[in-house]
Amino acid sequence: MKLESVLESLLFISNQPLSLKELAKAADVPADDVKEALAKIGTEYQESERGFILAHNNDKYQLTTAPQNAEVVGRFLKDETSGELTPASLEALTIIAYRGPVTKAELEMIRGINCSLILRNLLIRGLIEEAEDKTLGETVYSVSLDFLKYLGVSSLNELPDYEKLHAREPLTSNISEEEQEAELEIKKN
Amino acid sequence: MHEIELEQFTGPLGLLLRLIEKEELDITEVSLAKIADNYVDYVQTNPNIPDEELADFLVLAARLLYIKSKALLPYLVFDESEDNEDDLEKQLKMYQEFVAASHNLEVIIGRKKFLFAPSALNRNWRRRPVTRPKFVAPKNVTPELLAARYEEILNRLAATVKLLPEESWEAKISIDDRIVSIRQLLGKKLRFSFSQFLKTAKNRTEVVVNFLAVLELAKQQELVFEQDGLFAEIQVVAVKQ
Repeated sequence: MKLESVLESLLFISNQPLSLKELAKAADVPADDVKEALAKIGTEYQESERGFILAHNNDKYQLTTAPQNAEVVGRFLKDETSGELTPASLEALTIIAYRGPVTKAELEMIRGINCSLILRNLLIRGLIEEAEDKTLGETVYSVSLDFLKYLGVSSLNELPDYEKLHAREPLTSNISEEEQEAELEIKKN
Repeated sequence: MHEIELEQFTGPLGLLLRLIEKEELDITEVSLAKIADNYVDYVQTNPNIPDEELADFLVLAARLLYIKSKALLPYLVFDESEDNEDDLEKQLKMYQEFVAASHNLEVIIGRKKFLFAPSALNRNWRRRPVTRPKFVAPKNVTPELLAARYEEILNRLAATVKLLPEESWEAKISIDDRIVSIRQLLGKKLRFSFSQFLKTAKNRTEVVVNFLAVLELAKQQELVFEQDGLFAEIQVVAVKQ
């Protein structure tokens, strides 16, 4: 049984994003193997210009329609999604997309303004999601798969200048190097 | 004078960036000092800044005025390391990069290349309206778990509170005391160099007190300032009574 084919079936039958963990459990193989196979599937879809692509974010995967067919599909679904976001929301989303997972403090440091309301708003709209960073003991925020679908990109790596803006040094100068290393470990995993 | 509409920026840094770009300045400490007054003016005269954001606008105003005062009185800077933590130039440059990135995202969103995922469709091929979320208690929640979690949060707060540095401000010297000692000094010496005098201060507070005391005595016409040329040494001279 080829792993790629198994994963494809699982993704096909689900109407929810599937996490790496769920897929690994269902296919009964290590998560690393699943990740590798999914990367292959994703590239294959894009290169063969299929009508669907594999979108992923925060280790969650979902088959979606291809961006070039957005207009036809949107019309067919009588979709009323608009492209509207306030400038402040867009700014916060940009920082979370590029710097995520990011703490509220770091977001506020970059924007120079309190972001409590905006974070709550974005959470309610499902554009971002929160998680607990055990090492930092703080809540961290990242954009949701729904936001990627809204942008029409299959992963954050497709954003312009992603590598450059993502890999900036940490802003908080008062955390020790040890903690920074621990933080990097989390990001890798 | 202020042609910038509030809707065009998204917070204090957004406003500052607009002002700097409008004056076609680069982001440097010098430009920040130059633009400080424009910023303060704008914040002061604009009634549209929401109350809940005003504090953040004022914090930035204070930082700008500090930078401006440093530019005007460079010899008053004692400890450079203190300023590194407050590197507005760096922060604004980073903010500028993200503003540029957000314009890129705006363009991407504007293309409306939304990705659609399978979801339950009704007969008209319309996606079913999302049912209103209702509260369902998770099965694994127990009172003990909640108590443990609450304690975790309290511990986290305790750690933060402990980290706050304790600083006490003791008014060791008053302006009145300093005025008395300056009078004594002038009684003995008739004149002294202003910069030498400032150097006798042991800390920032004393510099401020010395400065204010001399100004107060000048106002009361007990002393005058003499300066031979631009940026030359300032002499403090007693007025003969």
